Amino acid sequence: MTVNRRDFIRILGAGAALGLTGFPMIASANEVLPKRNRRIVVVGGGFGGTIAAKYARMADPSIEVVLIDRERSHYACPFSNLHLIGKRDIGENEFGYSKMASTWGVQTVFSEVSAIDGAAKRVMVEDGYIAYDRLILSPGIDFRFDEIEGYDAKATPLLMPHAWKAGEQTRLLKKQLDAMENGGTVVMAIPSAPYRCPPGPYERACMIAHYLKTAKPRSKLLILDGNDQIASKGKLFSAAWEQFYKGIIDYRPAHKVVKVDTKNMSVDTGVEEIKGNVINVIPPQKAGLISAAAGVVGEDKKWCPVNPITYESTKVPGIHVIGDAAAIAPMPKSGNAANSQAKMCAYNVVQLMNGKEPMSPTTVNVCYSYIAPDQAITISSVYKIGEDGKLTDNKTTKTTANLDPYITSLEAKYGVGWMTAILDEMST
Amino acid sequence: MKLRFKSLKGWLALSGLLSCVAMPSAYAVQPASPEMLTLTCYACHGTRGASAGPLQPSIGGQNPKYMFDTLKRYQSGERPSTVMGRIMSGYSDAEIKAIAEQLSKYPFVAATHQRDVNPTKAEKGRVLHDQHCKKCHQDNGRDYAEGAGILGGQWMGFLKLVFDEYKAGKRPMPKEMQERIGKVTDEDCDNLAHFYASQKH
Repeated sequence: MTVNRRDFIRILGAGAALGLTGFPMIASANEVLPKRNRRIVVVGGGFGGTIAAKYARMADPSIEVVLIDRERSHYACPFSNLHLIGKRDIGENEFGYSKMASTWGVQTVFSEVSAIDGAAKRVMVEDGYIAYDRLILSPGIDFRFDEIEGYDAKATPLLMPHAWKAGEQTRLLKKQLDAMENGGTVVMAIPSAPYRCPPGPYERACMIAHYLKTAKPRSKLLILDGNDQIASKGKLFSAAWEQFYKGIIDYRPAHKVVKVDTKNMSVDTGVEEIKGNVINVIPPQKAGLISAAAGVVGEDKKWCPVNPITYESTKVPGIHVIGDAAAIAPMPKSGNAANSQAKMCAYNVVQLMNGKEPMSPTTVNVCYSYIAPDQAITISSVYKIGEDGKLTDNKTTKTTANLDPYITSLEAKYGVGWMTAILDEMST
Repeated sequence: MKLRFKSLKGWLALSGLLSCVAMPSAYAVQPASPEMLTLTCYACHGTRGASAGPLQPSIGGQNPKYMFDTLKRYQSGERPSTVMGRIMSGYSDAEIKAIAEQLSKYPFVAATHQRDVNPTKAEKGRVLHDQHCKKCHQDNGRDYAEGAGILGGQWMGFLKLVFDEYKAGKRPMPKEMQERIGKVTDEDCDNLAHFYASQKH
């Protein structure tokens, strides 16, 4: 057996993880970017991490910020469904980190993170470790592949794309739809909530149905939903399907896919096996894998419980978890939620590092979903800490009232504005 | 918005931390600063209110009274909106005032990278502006007189939507403006949008 450098780091990482339970930290590991000042390390360069890094520098430029991601650029998930109908190229969703360094003085490190030692306050990267005073972890999601029989983490997505992390997967799903014969069946499997972007699968259903209606009208879209009902904006999506996609969409709630067979191109609900020409299985989800190595995953073995004021992990002090990985109901797992949390978290981490009381956060979420190429609906909320110390939306959660075309076309225009703005915030 | 936890025990119980082995230190909590309150606005309106467009106005450097009134009108529904009214329902008057004042402290950043400004239309717009608008929208709409928001340097898409709303009578306006907007045609509004969008700061 040969051990390459990355494997060696993983082995080191396993040891480092033991540091939490008192196992001595690898003393010989090399310190990357030797720490001489107060420092925040951010792991994960998506909607949460980039914003946390930028706003921490804005709140107090005397504190160093190091942003670590394994990739040099990131594909945003919002609006990726519009790629499926050719309305927006997924390439427009890509953003990099050059301005993080030049405008905000954020130090960027591109490396796999193999372990996080919360006791020693060290992040293990490929070339050694990076030390921190406080860590902001924004790892996004990974999939619970093991809950679907026959699902191979590497091979299955190449045949049955999930397209739930944007980029190549989105392109693959579009290619498969384009290649399908008129008269074919598209099967979509939606996982049980909570998952990334609650209305996302239903928006995707609208986009696929629109494509079928216009390009392959003899085709059908069968939706197998692991939830008992549409998980978000239910009344509006039902109305949109009735109005625009009647006879194309066959929606089956409480139909959880438990098995896949890529040879037969079929999925199984435990009751029946269903074949499809294009199969989009969105697997159930959990906090990004590094969360487990950091020891911040909760009792449910899925998500990371946090203090709703500081986002500090209730499991490991000094580690703050934001974005999709955080268990912070009633906030949904969305890009706008991550953006909002990142700002509050960054400001409160700076407060704590300066020996000041954290501030009570107000966060906002807005989610745009397209129901047709030029029509969209939204859901929005404002969150505060209630008198009981828990996060509450104070009944501010509301959706677009109905499918009045004047309003939905206006929402569609503002949706483009939202996407332009939130991408710009991460890359300027 | 007062959040003071009288005892350590009370706070820990509230946070559900009592049963945790690795217990983060307990914090007293203070209300959000005006600066912190404005941060959520930036996801749509740009960092410190410098909009990346194309439809959202820049909100940094605006008249604080105008901003307060506008946000309150969104909240009451007096000014129509898609998400703004819903979002403002989550904020108190004191918070809205703090946000309006904080935003006014940042510079107004003009949308200088607009590619769709037509110079001929902008020139026609300038004539119309001098004729109808300049009394309240001073310095080519770049300055705010009492009660008026900054128009010069806003995104074209935003300006066109605003004119549409005014022309359709969907948005309340002062009597003086009502008289003037009645005198201009849809084409005039388009020219005015090009004129204001062309303004540099």
